[in-house]
Amino acid sequence: MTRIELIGLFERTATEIAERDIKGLSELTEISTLGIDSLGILELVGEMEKQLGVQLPDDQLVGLTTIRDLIDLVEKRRQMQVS
Amino acid sequence: MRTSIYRVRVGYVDTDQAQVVHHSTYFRWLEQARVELLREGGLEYKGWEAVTRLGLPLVDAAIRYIQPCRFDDIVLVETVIGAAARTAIRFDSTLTLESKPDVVVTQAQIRLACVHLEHGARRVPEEVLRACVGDDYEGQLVRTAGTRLTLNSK
Repeated sequence: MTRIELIGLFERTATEIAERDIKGLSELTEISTLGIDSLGILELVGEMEKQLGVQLPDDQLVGLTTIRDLIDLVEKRRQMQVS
Repeated sequence: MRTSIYRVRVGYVDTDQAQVVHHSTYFRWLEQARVELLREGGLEYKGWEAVTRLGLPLVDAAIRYIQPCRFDDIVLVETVIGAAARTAIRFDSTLTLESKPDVVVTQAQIRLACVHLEHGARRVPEEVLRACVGDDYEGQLVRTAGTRLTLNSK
């Protein structure tokens, strides 16, 4: 999945979690501006884990600010699982 | 899902000027009932919190006061796990008087999330899910565990 596709997945998952339309995001979008609380973010991460088949440890979610941070983490974890 | 009954006698300090249990008292009982449920499930909260530096804060509460309780009444707080998810657990409690077990005096739904005491939100760890749901918790998890008790429903 490309980075753009990952953003699309994030948008769809965030829309489901937030129960409102979330779109037009970019890698620079700050996650805190989406109006999803910390529990919602954990739910969102959990759903993305299921869909991507990757595990994102909770302690590595601390400090994630932008969608780019999340995508970087996803790609890093995917590479670790492959190697 | 686990069920637990916590038994408490109403103290004078629990009542208010109307000589009934003050509405805030129920939250203390509900909390203690949850602690006991976890203990019965094999998780001693005090030690767990100290070792893991995790906590289970209350993030959502719904409570319906149906009948009053009074000084010296014995109240039974029956708590079941209403729903368990990776991000939160809902505890459903029904309170009755030991002397009138068919009469529900209070109903409550309390949702707990999980946090690291220094680093913020966390997913509910396995040992908590096991204590609440049992060893086969994986098959019983839902996506969210929100409260459903509404002020208008009977």
